[in-house]
Amino acid sequence: MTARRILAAGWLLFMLFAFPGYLTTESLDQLMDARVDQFTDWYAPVMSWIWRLIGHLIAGPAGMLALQSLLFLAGAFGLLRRALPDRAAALATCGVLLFPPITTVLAVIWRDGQLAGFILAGAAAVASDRRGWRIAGLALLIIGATMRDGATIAALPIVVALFWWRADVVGWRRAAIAAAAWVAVVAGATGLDRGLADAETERPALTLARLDVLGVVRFAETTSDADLHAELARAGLAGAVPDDVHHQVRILYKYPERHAELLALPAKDDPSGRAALLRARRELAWAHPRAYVWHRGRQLRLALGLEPSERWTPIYTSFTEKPAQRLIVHQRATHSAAQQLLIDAVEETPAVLFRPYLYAALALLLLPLAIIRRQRDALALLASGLAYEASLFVTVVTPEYRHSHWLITCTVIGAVMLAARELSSRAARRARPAAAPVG
Amino acid sequence: MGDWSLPRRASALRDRLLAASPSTILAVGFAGLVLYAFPGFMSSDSVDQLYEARTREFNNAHPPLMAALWGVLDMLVTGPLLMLLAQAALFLGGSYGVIRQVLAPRPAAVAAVGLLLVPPVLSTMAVIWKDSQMAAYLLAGTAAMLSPRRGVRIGGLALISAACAFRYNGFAAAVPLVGFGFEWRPGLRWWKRYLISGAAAIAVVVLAFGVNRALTVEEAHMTPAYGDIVGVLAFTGDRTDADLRQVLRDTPLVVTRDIQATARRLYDPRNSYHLTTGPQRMFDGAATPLHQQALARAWKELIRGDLEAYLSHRRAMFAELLGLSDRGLWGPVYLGFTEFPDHPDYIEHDTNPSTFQVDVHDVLVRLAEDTPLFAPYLYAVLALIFLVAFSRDRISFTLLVSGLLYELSFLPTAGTPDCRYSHWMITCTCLAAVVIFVRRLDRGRARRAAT
Repeated sequence: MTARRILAAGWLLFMLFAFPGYLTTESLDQLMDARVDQFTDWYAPVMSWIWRLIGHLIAGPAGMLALQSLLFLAGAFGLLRRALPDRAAALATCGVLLFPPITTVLAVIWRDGQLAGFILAGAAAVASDRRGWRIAGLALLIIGATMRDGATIAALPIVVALFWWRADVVGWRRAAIAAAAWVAVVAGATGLDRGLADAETERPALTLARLDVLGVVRFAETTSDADLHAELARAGLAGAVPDDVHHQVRILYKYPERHAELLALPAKDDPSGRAALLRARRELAWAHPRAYVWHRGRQLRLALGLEPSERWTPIYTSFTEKPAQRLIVHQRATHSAAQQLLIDAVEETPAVLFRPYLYAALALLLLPLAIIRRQRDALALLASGLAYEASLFVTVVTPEYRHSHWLITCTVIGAVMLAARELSSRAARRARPAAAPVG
Repeated sequence: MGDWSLPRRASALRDRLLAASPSTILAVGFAGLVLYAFPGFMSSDSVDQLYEARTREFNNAHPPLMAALWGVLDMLVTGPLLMLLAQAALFLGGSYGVIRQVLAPRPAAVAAVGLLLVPPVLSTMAVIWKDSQMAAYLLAGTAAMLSPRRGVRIGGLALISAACAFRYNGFAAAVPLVGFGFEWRPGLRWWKRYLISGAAAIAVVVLAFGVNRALTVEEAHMTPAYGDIVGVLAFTGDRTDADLRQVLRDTPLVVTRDIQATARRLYDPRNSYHLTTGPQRMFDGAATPLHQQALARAWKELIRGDLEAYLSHRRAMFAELLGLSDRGLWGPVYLGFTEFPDHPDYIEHDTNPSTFQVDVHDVLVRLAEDTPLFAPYLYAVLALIFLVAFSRDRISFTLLVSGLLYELSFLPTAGTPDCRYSHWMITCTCLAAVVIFVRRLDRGRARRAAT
């Protein structure tokens, strides 16, 4: 079987599991944005825009599913064939694509799946020998970087370690050009994001600010309610939180969906209220750094799967989240018998494989090996996964399994690359004395 | 800088396009159809068949083999997608295989894609219908029968048998294809060859009907009697109510006074659905065996009593089918993922059309309304001209006879003049035109070369 056929078979199996693509409320919001041609900054306007473009050809989630999975497949294959022969790389790519902790997120039309697809394809293209591909890789990275807040951080190690302009430009000059390329990626992603958003709601920033305000309140236990009220009043949030704020936050901190009961988000037409909330977050964090770090640390622990969470759903296989949504978006499907078998098989996967902290630990272990072995591509991937995961420390609002999908993807591919090269060099070492002339 | 010049780039692009392999060309055509139809358009018929596929309660209202095959594919991917992929692949592969007999691979691939893009062919192939499935299996079977390998030729018979099972009048298309096209062993004397191919044709038809009968779980009362009875009454001379009450005794007749006048008022050569439904209906459904037997008896009596009236009624229906009336074509282009509002609940399937689908649909509708491209009579006339004047080879002859006979089979059977019924004749005419054109071109070239 040729590498192409192996990849096609792997992709078809993936599509059999995911077709036509699973949708959550967030996905449906973005689908509706795409349909009505109104992009807000709630999620990723670029993703809605891409969905709109694809929707011109294929309506519904199937086109997006094909896009993210094909980009993922192409990217993973492009990287793995740097360490493996074509057929082995194709087999390994299919293995990665069909590895349940990766498959389950990629099967849903989420920013996380799109991020993984675009950045992985971008990484493979940036590492290419042809300049045209490397520039195309930067473009893919720009798109990938718009998908989530920390995605530009994920692109940093990839661009800095892998991008080169000309073969004769090496050393610090190459690094400087690569750093400039990363700055261009960040600027491009920011520009694209802002340029496409029809309405600036700042909702993600405000939700994060509210979470952080409440988080600081939760862990600043030595500060009295009165002092906290005074601090919030100074920031412009006088009377915005209940009198017994400590007590209330202690109860509701764990439930982000109930945070509005403690601190309502300012209305659309209330710029001073928004500014006050953002200012309150900044000032409280500076005033109580220890509480802020504890609070953010807890969010990261949740994202890493180190603490149990009600929002922890690593396997999601519904075509819509609520029955009424099917009517709104005119998307309806049922699982086929084969699909149900695959879902059952995935559900049998040991739960421990869905714990991101294991991949974080593995990536941290493999990172020095990649440095010692001078494997720049594997190093770039591992660093990218870890950097993105670390960025969750400041960016994550409602930690979910899917947030760690990029870390898991990078760790698995990086580990395969390192192992493949290690095995191949050991085999070469063993073969060398045998090949030496006898006598 | 010269490498980047526009003319040079355009020329390079043209060279690359001209050098595209046949499989690439076919893949582009295949992708085009799938993109237009994704994930497969479905009408009420298709929805009923998908429902039967899932429940496995096969009703003979639609030949059950198609629902049975759909049931298998639905276990892999729910909905119409795999049926669409199957019919697109078999149609393209089949037409390519037939055209390959007269053309080199690349032009054959271009012609096969061109055939698929003929508007009345494309519009039907986008829908999961018995007609499109039948055409796809027939073409694939025909191509397989032209293979030098006997195993493949026998596989072709199996495909044609399946096609024959997809429509009850499919045998009219299948018999000429097998009868003229099947060869057990090259070099046999003509009578031996046709004896074997005739037997094969009978086997193909018997197998198709046998499989359908074996699969049928629930027998529905399928009869053209309502439309024909009203049609004969509309065209025959004046008859009294007493006389007609006698002829129509024991039938579920609702109207008991002014029977013939009511029949003449209700008669519509395009549709007989309203004769048994709604407050203006003339009959109730035949719910009991007594009703069914009485209907069959009355139907035969009326036809035998005035064959000319029956033929006038059938001619009127056939004229509608061929698009010869002023009332326009019946559903030349269809775009819909389900037909009625309760269908999404019924089969748990729904989606929206893409802009591309809507745009292509609009173009097809405009072509159907403003040009005669979709008019079946045009292809019937062309097929007759080709058959009489130009067809000098077995492939085009077989295709033309198959298309025409199949179309003719609707003369006594059609209940509505759906455009999709003429899809096979249109496909055969276009395909035969390619074969005849290429053969004549080759002969002309050979003659010129000789002189």
